[in-house]
Amino acid sequence: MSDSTHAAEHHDGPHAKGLWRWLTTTNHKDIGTLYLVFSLVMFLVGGAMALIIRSELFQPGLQLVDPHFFNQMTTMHALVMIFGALMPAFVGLANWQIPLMVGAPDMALPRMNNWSFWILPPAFLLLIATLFMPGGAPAGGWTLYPPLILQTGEAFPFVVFSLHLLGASSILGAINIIVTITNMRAPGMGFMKMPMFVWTWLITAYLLIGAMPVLAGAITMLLTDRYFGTTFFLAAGGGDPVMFQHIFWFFGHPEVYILILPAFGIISQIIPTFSRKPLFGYTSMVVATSAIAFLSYVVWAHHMFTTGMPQAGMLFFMISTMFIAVPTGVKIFNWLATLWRGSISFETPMLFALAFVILFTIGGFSGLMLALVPADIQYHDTYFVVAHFHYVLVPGAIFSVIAAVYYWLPKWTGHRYDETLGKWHFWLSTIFVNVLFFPQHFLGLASMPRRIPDYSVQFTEFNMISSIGAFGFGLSQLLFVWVLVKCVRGGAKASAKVWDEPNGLEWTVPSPAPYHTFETPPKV
Amino acid sequence: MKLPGGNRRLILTLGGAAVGMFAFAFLLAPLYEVFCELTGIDSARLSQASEPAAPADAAEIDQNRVVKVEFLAHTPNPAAWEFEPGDLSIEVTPGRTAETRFLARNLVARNVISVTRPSVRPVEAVSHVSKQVCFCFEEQPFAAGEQRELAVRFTIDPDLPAHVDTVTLAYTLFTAQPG
Repeated sequence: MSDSTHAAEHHDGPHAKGLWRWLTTTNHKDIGTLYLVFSLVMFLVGGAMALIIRSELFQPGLQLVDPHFFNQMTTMHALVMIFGALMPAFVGLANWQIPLMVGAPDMALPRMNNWSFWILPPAFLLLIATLFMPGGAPAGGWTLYPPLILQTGEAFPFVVFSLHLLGASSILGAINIIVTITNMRAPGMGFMKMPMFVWTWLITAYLLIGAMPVLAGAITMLLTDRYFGTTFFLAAGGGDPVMFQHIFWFFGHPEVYILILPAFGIISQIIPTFSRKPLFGYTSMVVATSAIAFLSYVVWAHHMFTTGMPQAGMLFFMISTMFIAVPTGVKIFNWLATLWRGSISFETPMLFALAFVILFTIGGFSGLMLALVPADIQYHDTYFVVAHFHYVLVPGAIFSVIAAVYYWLPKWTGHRYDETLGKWHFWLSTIFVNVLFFPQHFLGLASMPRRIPDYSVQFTEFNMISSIGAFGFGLSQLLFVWVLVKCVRGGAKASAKVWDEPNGLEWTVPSPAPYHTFETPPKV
Repeated sequence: MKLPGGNRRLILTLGGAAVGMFAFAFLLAPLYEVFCELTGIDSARLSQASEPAAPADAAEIDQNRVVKVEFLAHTPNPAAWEFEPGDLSIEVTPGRTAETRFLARNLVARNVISVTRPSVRPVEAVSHVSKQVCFCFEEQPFAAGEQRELAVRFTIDPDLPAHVDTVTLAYTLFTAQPG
């Protein structure tokens, strides 16, 4: 009895108000919002850096920035987008949605949840501050290869500590997510009844715990090489710089799947809703996701085919890499089969999800081309690689985040977003993202190297097209910000179900989702 | 704060796994060397004197076989060092000892110590090169502005795979780490 009065007192909202509420909150919805807003800000910061890069590359020659600053921009753009925009966006979605989707009242470890988020802003202050330090921000590429990265100025230890903090935040977040999913599912929700978004996040969280500490180890070794006289990666002292590449990519390749598995989960939620059919091949989706996660640990050296590797090694890494296409293909075909004879409607989240399926697959195919050793030796470090990973990360991962935001926004705010503006946002983004990245395939095949501020004149036209696409894509995202602001402020009232035939526990609570939900577990 | 028992166990396991993976990153450094040794791409043995492998049957050695041996010299610090091979390439009969010289000059106006790291390509030739004399076995002191010839005496083993007709010996010269 006392328990229920206690719950009733707290029912409507947070204790504290204003800034203090956000600093001290342990509520999964508040923390999810913090993560999402943070990642949106970082997305705009990283996007501004990309626009500096594309402005300089609009024509050959050096016009706007000096080459050292250009290199800082390519490095920082990648670090900000990966660790600041994409990963926090997925963690934010996990925070909002996982408790709602498994019928839990909150995350399992709410205080740790608060910490996981509040480590991020100081970590990014450290990282952004390096731009203003003597010697500038890191300029050796986000892969931090020694010996080049060891030539970073005063900023070097700040970069390393900032990455340590980001890693710690991700690991804490991952532990929280695994404990929540494992121990706090509503009665009756077995593992094989979990929504796909929850499944993919469970697997992603295990990848995070396996991969992030390895990055922490690698950058710690960089730190001791520079300041404490160790020679892990210094050839003069008997170390090997290529070993860094092995350790880095042992983290780096699982990281690639950390950035895409939650996207697969999101798409697997959205396509069934707007096809008005259950997801085709649920079990095979789960198995395929696990297979991708497993394979991600045994393919790392495909990033290093040009370092000189025995033929047997190249064959192994080539074949294991191409093998990833099998489970990924299973997923693509399952989505297509879900669409087959569905009663499809094209609301904004569905449009982004469909664009994801097509454009991510283009990125997947260029990945297969890069997996081939003889081809890769030609494509290595060219714009073809840039085109490839931007296809999987922008119209892949980022589109999935945008789709997820449109899909769940009415549940979070209680208002419907402006569908017309949402469609404008979709079409502008989709057209410009292709104008931006498709010509980069041709540039790469014509052997334009990546990470350079200047280029030969024969590459001019495609670079101009690409830069125009970049500004078009970047400016379209301001429309997205406007749609978000408008929807938070008001709009048509959303029903609890929001969509016609959505599936899952999150649609059983009212919109906007009350501050506290599922204090008594639902029955599944 | 009291946690449900199941949560506590899981958190400890997962936290332990994270710490374990951090340690594993450091373990990869020695494992890397073990792996190179097992697979025969162990370049550490190129920094030590070794006798040529005893030919299985002296009569079976093809005295007419000729392998082209190329020499490369690099230094990451060309402002401080001049470092060049004396011969760009020589022809060597497997089983017979060959010799060449490298030229090194200290361009800075103080005494320094150099250290050189050797490498052999293709990878399948690594275990078939033995060196009797090499400046890469130990650190070499140079006086300010000193120029010196540095000798390498080596043997290509007769059991070098037949399709390998060119072997490259590469050397990278560094200023030795202070301390």
